[in-house]
Amino acid sequence: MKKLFFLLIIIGFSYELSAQGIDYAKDQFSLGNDAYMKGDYETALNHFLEAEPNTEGLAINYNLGNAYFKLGQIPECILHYERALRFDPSNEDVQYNLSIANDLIVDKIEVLPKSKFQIWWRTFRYSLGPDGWAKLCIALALVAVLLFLLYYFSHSTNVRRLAFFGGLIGFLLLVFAYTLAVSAENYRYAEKSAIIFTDKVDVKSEPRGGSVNVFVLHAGTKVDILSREGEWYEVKIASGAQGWIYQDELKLV
Amino acid sequence: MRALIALFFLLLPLVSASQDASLTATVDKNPVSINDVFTLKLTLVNSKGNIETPDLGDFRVVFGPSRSSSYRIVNGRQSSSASISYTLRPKQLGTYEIGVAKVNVNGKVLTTKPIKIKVIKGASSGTSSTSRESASSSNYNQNQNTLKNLMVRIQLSKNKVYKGEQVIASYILLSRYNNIDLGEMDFPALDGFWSEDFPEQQTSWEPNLEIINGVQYRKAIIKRQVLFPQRSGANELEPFVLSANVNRSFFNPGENITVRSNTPTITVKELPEGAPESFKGAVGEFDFAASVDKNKLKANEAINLKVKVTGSGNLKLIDANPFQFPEDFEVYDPETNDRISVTAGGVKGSRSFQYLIIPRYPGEYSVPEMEFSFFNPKTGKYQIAKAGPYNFSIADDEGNVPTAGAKRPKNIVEQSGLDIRYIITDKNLLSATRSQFFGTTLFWLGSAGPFAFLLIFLGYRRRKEALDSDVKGKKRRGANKTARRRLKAAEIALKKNDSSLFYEEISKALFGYISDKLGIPVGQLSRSRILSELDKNGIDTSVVNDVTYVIDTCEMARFAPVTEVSDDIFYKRTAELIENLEGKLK
Repeated sequence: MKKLFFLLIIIGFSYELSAQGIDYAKDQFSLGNDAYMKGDYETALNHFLEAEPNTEGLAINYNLGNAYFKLGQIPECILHYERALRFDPSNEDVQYNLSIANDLIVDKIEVLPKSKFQIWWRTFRYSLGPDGWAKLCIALALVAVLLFLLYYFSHSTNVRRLAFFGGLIGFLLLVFAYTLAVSAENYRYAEKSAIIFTDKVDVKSEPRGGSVNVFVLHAGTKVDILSREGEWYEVKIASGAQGWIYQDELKLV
Repeated sequence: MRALIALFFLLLPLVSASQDASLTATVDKNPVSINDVFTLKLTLVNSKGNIETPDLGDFRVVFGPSRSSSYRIVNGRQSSSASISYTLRPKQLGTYEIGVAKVNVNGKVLTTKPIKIKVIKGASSGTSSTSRESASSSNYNQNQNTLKNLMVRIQLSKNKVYKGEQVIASYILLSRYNNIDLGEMDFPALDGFWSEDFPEQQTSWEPNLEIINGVQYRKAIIKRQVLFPQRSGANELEPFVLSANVNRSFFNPGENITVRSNTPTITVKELPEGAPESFKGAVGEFDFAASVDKNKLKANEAINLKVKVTGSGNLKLIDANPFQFPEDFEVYDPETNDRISVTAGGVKGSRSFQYLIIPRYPGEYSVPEMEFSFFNPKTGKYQIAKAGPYNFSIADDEGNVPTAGAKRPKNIVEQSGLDIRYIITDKNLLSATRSQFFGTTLFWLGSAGPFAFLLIFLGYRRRKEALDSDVKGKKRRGANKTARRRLKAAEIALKKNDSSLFYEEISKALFGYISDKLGIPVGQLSRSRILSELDKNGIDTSVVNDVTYVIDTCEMARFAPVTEVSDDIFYKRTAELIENLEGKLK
């Protein structure tokens, strides 16, 4: 009991620490919003950047993206919209602004169309975020355990049968929700895509400066990272073409 | 060039065909044997005057002076010559100098060069026809002298050059034989050089005679090459080796002679530091120009862009520069045109690249400035030539759909009123960095905790049940305890000797116990109900009889004192009965 108590205190304390950072971030966020409202995008951007290390999520990245857009820094803008999407891939505002920003970049890569089911599944998968799925996990765990207890104590055969299967389904749903939480977390934090920052990049056939140029990409284009070799990234664009890019030419989402 | 080249010619008059006045002094042999005589000839061409003979005190004049003159017209050009000859015999061994001869022509003094005559021992070495006898009976010494009658040389235009700077190498034949058949020629392998041959032409004698140390030689240029050094440092050329058959005639098989040339060294300097970025190795003097045929056109029409490099230097090593064209331009590989000639001044001419460019989309485009840089060995500096930039304005080409797949850079979307959506203003939507709940200890407690609890709970229950059912003695003790608890009030009454209360409590305890065990309220329990329920639960008849007995005795004790058994024994029987029931009723 004592141990558990200490554990709770430590958890509480760590939450308290991060809470101080978040207060500062919130202040800077408000200042940035005020400046943005007046059209002073430069100041707004500075405040948002000040807030950025202490916070994460959709809101800060969305606002940063907007400020960069207004200042004409499209690659940075796209980078932050992509980061915002990591927290809510189905957010309409972010998607809309990102599509406008993508119209301003040089490269247009045909994205393969997705089926309705794919879109629905994607939306569903990331709708709750890792935390939402985590809470659902706890709720399902409690329900399943209660149902198992009912099965144990009840005298009626029907009740027992229902409770047993109910509990079993609850447990399976718990496993499912846990899997989704893991996948949502990976989507959010595993660095698997990047934005090109150099105006014009020759994508190489090998992770070596002198190798053959496979194709050319321009600033603002999103690439998927396949692997890393020293200072080079193996990338793949939406059309399926692959090649190597030096690390300084891109930024990870 | 290795093919045998035969040179036949008539005896050329020892006169220059030139119009200019000149005075030359020549000897017919050098070195001279002590026993031999030689001729000194002073020739004045295209002029008249008194030739002042130099001091000939070191020699004995055997014959002379004898005078001769000639006059002729070749192709309408007049030429005249007057000469004075002396036949001289050396007095002593050693080296003597014949001084300068002078002539005053219209107030201008012409002079000859001094000639050093070497007087050696032994028989004389005659020239050409007169010396055949001595040549046939030649010894080693003789042969040495013969070699002097035929020489080959490599002549370089420069000895110190920069890497890539051009050098002209001439392979020269000098001969005193009238009749010579050129045999095998071995030109040096040019390691460390990139070479360009002069266009091949018939080898012929030069009109002017070459005078080396007073001896006249006829001169022919066998071959000329332009060399571009590729390696820095001192590069020594290999000798040029030539075999020739001389003095062949109808009566004479002639003589085979092999001569080797000198081995000149070219010192190659590395290009200085600080080459511009666009430098690709061009060395020489160049002009750079570019031109386009039009600036305003419709999409899908062609533009011709011509880039031209003119000058002298290693033109053939110049590649098309990788120019940056806009993405919307379709650029074909440039066509290379050379107008390069190899002349005495080196490699000269021009190389041009013609680009065919087709813009696919309307708009304003620009091709950035083009740079061509080269190293100028004359100034020892890098030079950068620039052309452009060029701006193109491409008009819409209606009715011509752009080819599918061609990339088109998208400009700022020009739909009015289109803008990004507004920022998020609610600061409470912010969350702290990595404040994620999923994966924390709390999450694991919340999700796995209930299951842990369930398992612990079930485990505990199972253990308890096992204890309850498996250990008989403990169970009996437990049953005993139940009985005693139930009968506590009866026991108190027994001690007080209150008989009626005692039976009442016994009855209450039994009914209460059975009621609890069977889950039937006391109010609904009657003697018959109890018996039937006990039957249903499969209790032995003896036990059921005991229950009947206890109930009946208690009933009776309400009305009359019980005498058959003592209260004490009855209490024990009831306790035993409850113990018994506890073991059997589930």
